[in-house]
Amino acid sequence: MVKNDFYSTLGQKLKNARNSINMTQQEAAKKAGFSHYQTLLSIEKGDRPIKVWELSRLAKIYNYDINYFISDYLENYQIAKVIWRSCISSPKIKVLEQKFIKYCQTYHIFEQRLKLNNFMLFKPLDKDEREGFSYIKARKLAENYWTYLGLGSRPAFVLFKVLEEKLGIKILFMNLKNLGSGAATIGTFGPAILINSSDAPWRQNFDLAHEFFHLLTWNLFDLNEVHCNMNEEDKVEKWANFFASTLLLPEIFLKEEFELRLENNAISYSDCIAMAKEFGVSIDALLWRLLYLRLISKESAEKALETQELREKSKQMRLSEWRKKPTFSDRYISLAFRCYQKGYISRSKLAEYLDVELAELSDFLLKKGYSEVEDYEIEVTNP
Amino acid sequence: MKSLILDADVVIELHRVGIWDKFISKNKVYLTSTVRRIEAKFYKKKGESNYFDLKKDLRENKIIEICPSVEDVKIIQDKFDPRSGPILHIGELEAITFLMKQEIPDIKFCSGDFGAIRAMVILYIGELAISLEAALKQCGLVREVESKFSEAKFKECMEKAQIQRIYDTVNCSKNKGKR
Repeated sequence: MVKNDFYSTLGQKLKNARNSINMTQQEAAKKAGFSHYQTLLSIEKGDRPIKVWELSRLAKIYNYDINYFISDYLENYQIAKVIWRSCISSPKIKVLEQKFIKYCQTYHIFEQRLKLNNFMLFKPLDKDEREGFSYIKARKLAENYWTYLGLGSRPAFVLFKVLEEKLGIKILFMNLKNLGSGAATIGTFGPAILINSSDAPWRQNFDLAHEFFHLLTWNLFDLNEVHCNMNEEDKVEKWANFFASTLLLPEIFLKEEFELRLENNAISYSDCIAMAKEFGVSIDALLWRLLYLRLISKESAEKALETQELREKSKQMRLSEWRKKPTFSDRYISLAFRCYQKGYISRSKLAEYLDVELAELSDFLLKKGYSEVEDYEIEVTNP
Repeated sequence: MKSLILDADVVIELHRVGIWDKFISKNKVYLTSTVRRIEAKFYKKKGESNYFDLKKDLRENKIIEICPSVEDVKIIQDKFDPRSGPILHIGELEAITFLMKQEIPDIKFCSGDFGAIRAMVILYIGELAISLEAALKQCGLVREVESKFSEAKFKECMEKAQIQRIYDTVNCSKNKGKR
């Protein structure tokens, strides 16, 4: 049998995709419903032409947009370095990473179709800023961005929306379990952050600010050194945490709140928890920041951090903050819906992009506040 | 008997309304492999998921599965402007690929989807699309379907798609002129 170049190339692409997520041929064949893994072997070699529905299944298993396999223009999208925070070595990381990149590409497709390019407003620092980078620079960076983004007195509650809307940073949530708390990347699709949806909300806020630092300093440090194999001496991580704490706990407003609660030169543990809740951060982050601002003593901060009772109480008092975070932000869904309304993507494609079954799409959209029956094309015009 | 390729949404709607069996007995129904095997599985009614069995219909020769080659699907995909990104789901691409091959005379693609209609208009095969309401009428079945499957909505989509194509063509030549 004479080999067809098209199927050989496609087979190689499929093999590369499978390898990129460290999946064996046997595993992939089983998931795709092939009775023998040799079928997949022949497909990858280009000996057996793959059927459309088989390709559709494999693309889903490998977390690739099917168009990557049948058109050439998505190819360079796949190249994106992802840095993970607190990641443990696991083959599952690669699967999650690929899914993250796929969502970022899709997000970018919506932006392109709707001619939105606010991700261009995001500018990482220049390489020459690396020289002499310090805590002071990290603090200044946080303060500058706090002002520029207009984050106000309680930044944690607006940061997510502001980063997406103002800087076009794509933010996605996925259940990473214990595999990591966050990740950041910059690709042809722009900057993006992944947050662990199973983490506590205050932890997610901090991780978002922390990852934002990594995006801003993307060109400054060796990306292989960032995040993984984190140790006590890792300066970049410490700077990232310092940046996050400065950004989320603005000195002027924190002092104001602290003084309001101060009684007999001390504040109670309950007030500490209430303050952490007020600012949307963890009790640890709050105490470290208060210590840095010399509002509390080192001894009392360390004592509080070691007190199990404080943590238990904090957990109890903050139960209401736990909410299941959906993978996609309001902005992602809104852009997807607009593309659908304008006919830039079909309804089936919309369901695919929103990761919902076609039969459940209407209900999903309604829950998000979008009705397919309404005409959103009606316009109001300038006077 | 009319020959029709059904979009996944249409398959789901016909099951939801409860006229699937009647419809496939009055038409020669073709489903793409992706629609038959992956996309159309159940419909929702009063919050419940009701599964249906297309495999059985296929076994009993009540429907026909079409499976164009990936190579042919790519040829169709490449006809779209790459800057527009993917418009269609792979199931719809399969359907359009099959239509373009013209293996079955007078076959039409039944869809209520603006994106799918728009893609067909871009490829100058808009006349091969048909609304579910019209398809039901031509086989003597009258049922109330969701508004997106109505003839009025279909015509509105078709009109919008045609205007957009003209607009895109004008813009494209303007850009060429600038270069």
